Amino acid sequence: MKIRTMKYFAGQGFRGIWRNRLMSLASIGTIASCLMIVGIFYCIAVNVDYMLETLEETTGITVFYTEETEEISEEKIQALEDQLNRIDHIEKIIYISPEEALNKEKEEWGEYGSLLEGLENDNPLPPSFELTLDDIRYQKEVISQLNQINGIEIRYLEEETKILIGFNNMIRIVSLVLIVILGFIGVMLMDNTIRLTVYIRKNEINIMKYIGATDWFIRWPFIIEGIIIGVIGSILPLIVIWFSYNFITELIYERNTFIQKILVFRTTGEIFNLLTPISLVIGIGIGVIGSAISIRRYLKV
Amino acid sequence: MIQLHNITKIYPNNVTALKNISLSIEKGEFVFIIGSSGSGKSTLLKLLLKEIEPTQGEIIINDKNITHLKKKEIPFLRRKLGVVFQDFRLLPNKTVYENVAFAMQIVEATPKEIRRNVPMVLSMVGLAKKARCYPNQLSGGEQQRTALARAIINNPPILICDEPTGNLDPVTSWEIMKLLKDINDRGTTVIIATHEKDIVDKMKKRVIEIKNGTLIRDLSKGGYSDED
Repeated sequence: MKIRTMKYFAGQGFRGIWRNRLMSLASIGTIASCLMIVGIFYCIAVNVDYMLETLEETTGITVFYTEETEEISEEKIQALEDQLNRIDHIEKIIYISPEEALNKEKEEWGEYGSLLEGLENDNPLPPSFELTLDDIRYQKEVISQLNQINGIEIRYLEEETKILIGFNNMIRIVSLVLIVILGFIGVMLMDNTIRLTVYIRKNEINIMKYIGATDWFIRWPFIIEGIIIGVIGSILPLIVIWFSYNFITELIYERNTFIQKILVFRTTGEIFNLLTPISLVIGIGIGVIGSAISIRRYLKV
Repeated sequence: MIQLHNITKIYPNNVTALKNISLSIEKGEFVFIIGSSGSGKSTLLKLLLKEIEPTQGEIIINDKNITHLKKKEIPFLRRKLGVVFQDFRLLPNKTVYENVAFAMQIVEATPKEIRRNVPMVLSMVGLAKKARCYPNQLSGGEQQRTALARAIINNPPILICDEPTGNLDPVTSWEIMKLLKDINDRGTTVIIATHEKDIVDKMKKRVIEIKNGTLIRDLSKGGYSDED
């Protein structure tokens, strides 16, 4: 293909969009709104995942011996750690000595911490292990394995974990279902729009064939038109999401400093690292496939 | 230049459009193909343009057997055949200049060639001043001239016209016929399907008449009907 022919195709692609501005606008709008929703749900899903990850790290399992603290030997602690090491899905094992446990309690009691003074010599708190899982969904499995170890007590947040997992799964399912439905609607609308565009140009294609245009010569301008529409249709929601994301996260951080510990957000950069290519691929994909399918019907002159 | 050997065309609905037609058209000829609607003359043109395939027989254009052509090769055959239709078939969203230049872009002519040849052809058909007009700003005659300019811009050896004056008034029709004669004088083989008696009678050119799918008359310097 000669360069001037490519220039011609590109020029025709842009002209096609301009001369069919209403249809092009409809196509861009369809892709843009589809990708806008994909983008919004992507932002929500990524951040919910991120928040859950952060929460997962703080909702661990605590394991300790039920015997009197004095009777627990170093070897016993070491043996328990070895046993814990053998269980799958445990990511981190932190040993907390009675002294550390007491200090932690004091911290949590805050201004009443002084009430715990004097317990150092008669520490009622046992040595314990805090376990963090690689994925909170395996909690049940790990707990059942821990239950087989004798003489220990297991403390964990069962109800809270259940709610977290449920919420996590719900968000994933809802967003996936919505993206599939909206993607389907998007493709259908796009197909309709392009079909209409091609229908408007049916005569043009017919004439081109009589003049001796090859099929690819006829196809290219439409495909380039699809690419341009796809690119514009994916960039528009990206710009909107960029600004609103910055605005909303800043707003939440500013107004509600106290929930910052729970409401942690991915940075705009982190979001767009993946959202940009996803949007472009989906947008251009819908544009090109839509054009190609619709053109095929009318090339059988 | 064009040879048809025993061409028969039966459409899928079992209508026989052409029955055992054989004819030969030499280089530089000016030929009228006449016959009433449904006689089969459109089918004949469609066969030449490879819009349809013959049921039987052979078609040879420019010493090349085109009876069975691969789909990919059809565009290249059509570049050797300029085509003009009754309904002009111009691209409505392109100017006169762009419509003509378009036929050159398809054969990947250089911009220099396009800038040189398009104004030349437009002045030849008398449309130099209308180059920037869109088809809907032109009269019927002007639209057909544009179509003619487009058909001959790449110097095809053969020009096929399907009822080129069908939508035009008599005066305009004659202007178009004169143009076609000019084109023929430059060496292009011209084939015109028509049922305009006046024009055929006055032009005194070769006439091929088709009736019910059979070739019933082939006369050089003939008229529209036998009485002439």
